[in-house]
Amino acid sequence: MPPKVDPTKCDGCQGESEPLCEQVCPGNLMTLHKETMKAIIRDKSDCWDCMTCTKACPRQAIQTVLQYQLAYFPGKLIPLVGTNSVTWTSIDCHGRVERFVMKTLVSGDDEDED
Amino acid sequence: MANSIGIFVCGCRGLVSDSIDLTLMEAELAKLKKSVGARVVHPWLCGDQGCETIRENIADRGLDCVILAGCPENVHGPLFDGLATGAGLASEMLLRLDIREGCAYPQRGSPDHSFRKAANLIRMWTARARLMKPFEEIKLPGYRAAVVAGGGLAGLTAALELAEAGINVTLIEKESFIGGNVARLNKVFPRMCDSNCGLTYLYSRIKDTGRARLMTLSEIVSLRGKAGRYEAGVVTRPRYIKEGICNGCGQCVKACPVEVPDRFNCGLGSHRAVQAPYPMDLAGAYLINREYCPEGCEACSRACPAGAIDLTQKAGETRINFGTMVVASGWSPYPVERVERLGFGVFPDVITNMQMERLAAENGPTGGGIICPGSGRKARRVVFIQCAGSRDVWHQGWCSSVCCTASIKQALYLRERDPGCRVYIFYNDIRTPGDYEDLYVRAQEAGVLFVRTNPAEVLADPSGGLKIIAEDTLTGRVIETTADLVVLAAGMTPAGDLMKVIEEEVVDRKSLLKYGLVGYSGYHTGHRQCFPMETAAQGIYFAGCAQGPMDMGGTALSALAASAKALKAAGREVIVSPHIAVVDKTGCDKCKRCLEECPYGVFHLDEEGFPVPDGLFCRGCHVCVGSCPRQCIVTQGFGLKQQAAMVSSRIKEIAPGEPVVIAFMCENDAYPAVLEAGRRGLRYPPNIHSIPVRCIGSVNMAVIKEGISAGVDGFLLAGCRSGECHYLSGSDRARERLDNLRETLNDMMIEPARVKFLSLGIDDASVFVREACEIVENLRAIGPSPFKNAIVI
Repeated sequence: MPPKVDPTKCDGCQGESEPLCEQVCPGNLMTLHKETMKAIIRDKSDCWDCMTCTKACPRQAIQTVLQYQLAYFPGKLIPLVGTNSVTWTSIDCHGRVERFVMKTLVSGDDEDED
Repeated sequence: MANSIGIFVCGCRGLVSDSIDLTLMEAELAKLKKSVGARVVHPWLCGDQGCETIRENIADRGLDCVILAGCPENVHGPLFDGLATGAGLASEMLLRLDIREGCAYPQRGSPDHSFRKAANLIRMWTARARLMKPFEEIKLPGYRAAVVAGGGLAGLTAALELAEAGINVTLIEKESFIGGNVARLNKVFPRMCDSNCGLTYLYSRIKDTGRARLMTLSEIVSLRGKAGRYEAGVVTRPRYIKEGICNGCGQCVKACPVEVPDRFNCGLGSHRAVQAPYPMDLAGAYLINREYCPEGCEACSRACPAGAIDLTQKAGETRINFGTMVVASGWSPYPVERVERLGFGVFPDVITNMQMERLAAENGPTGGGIICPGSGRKARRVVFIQCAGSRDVWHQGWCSSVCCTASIKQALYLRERDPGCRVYIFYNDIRTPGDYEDLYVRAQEAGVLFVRTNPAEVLADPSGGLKIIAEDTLTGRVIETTADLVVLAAGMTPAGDLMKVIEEEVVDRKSLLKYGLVGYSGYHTGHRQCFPMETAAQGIYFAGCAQGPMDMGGTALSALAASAKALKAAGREVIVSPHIAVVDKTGCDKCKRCLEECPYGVFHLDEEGFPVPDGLFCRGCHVCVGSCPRQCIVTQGFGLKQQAAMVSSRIKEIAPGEPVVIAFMCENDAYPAVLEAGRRGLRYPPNIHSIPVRCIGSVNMAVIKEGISAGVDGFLLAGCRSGECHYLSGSDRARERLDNLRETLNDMMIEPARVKFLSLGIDDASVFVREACEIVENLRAIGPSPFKNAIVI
């Protein structure tokens, strides 16, 4: 299921010709709406839920709606991109929350642990 | 990367060691192993013996980074910096960690808490130290030349200063004479000296340097490039008389049929279209005002015995390359004819302050006699009307700051020359700042009558003179008086089209307004205290009355300040601050958010479309570092990587179940407030671990997110109050970013109250303490971070 852009948070990357989501989308599906200057998805059926735009958005304005086979509303999968890790919060349709931290960079700073 | 870190903990002669057990600390330090080369606990590091210990350890153990845990950075700065450089360590590799004001003082009486907090802070600083590298010098190319636009007092002062510093200077003056408005003055307050004396002296010194070129009758019409590498198009109007051949016999003036109003004398009197050089015209040749010549008239050409006249001369355009420009385009009097009730332009005996100067000057139209231009009588009764158009919302809202003193000066010399002359000054408020109050007192003693009035009205008197009606605001009565001469104190308005050229071609006015660089008076101003000389047009500095209304003393100071700023942009090779932002092109995807968020607009795009900051003008606020969604803007020294390492350095709970809070603090306002809280002995929870940063806008949300996933319970971001940020918009940006993050956290079912933005002024110690207690209370109620138990893949 496609990304959902929150128009109150999206600032169209401040009027740039190519917002960040448009640049990162591997399927070239994101674009700016000509009048509102907010990001929209061109073709929802082509999105394969890679969530790149969701992770990249500097204003955290994009959410990926989960496929109904995976979870009914209000099921959600939310990434939080840190400097050396990505954190995933999965909320299923019963409201159960699971959290995963994925290290993207090993800082090698763990040796001092006692 | 530092491979051998020395950790030195100072007992501060009891101030620290009373609350923190140093023996326990020694055992705690032993646990830090990776890249740590020395662990020293010392009762008094800033003493001779302590310094020697540091020096020995650096030398013997080959330390490449040192952490000094003790007093805050602003104490003993030079001592420790000198110590480090003396021992062969770059001063940026000596990290100061405050465990006195920020740890021992607020936790006085609970030694366990302060010990654990200090241990946490040392752990964080060690994580930071591992990633520190010495600064590399950054050099940029540039033109070693400067342009000074405007040959008035400000321009001459700046040109002299730059030329003496070894910079080639082109001094561009619109008129045929130098000195600008100052050359027109009769006397200069407060010492009542002759203005031309100072100007001549200034110019002769400029000539002596051999580095300055003067271009009179010239104007800058185009400008392009950027700081360090500008190119200007300069149009020079012809004189129509060949310098060097003209011998100044004056035959041409006798032949000329056309009368032209005298610009030097501010419109008082007239001269012929071909004119003798004005005072302070250094060319020594006559000049033809060709725009007034009747078609086909060659009377002067025929009359000239030397054959110096060439009516076919054309305006020439030159291109000048330079690195920096001082704009000293000066001021012109407010067009007071717009204030209709004052009758300027209607009654010839109503004149402006500047015209009064010309009347009184010996080289003026009357040879120094105060003769009313309309009636031709000697002025025996003179009324000065202050604030003509100034401090008036319908005209110009600002106070020009010098007109009161200028009128008092004129009143004084009027009384001095003719003790029988009655002089009145009608004023709103007399503003004679600083020493000028003396003049005010002298004028009162000299019998000048000061009348506090509401705006006056000038009418014709049946007797032939002028009648002034005004309301005396001290007695509340309407008063009427007559006068031979009325002098209006016309305020200062920025002069010159150069502003327009700059605004159109280098930076548009909209962005000037956006960055807050146009004062409310329409003058170009920087942040008054922090960056007073800055403009959004980089490499261009405003001096003198182009910067704001000011007196001659202020003008000279402002010109000196501008030339000092200009020096950094006028070198073949410019060494810039190591703190400038650098874009890592491998990570950048050209989203241009840094261009949008940089408070000074120093970014531009290179040929490949990557953003590049202009190193000469980057102020190192690092707001772009905070803005970058790809975290690819890197800085030397303390930056994103180090911050991320600090927040994920596994900070231990102060007591079981207690929340861990990391506070990023703006080092200008918020951090001093924290130190002040410690000094005052205010207690706040030991859970708060403060990290000072250059600007709160430099904190990237990725660091906060990293900390949240690392299990930090709460974050406090403290910046300046909105509108007080030293980097214009840093604290507002941080607040905005944090608001967005808070919503995402809410979506993730994490309590948004875990992150908090705080506006702190420098004296808000008690506010900080209150807020710190509150966030810790809240976090205790909310419970530990869900990421403490997250699955790490």
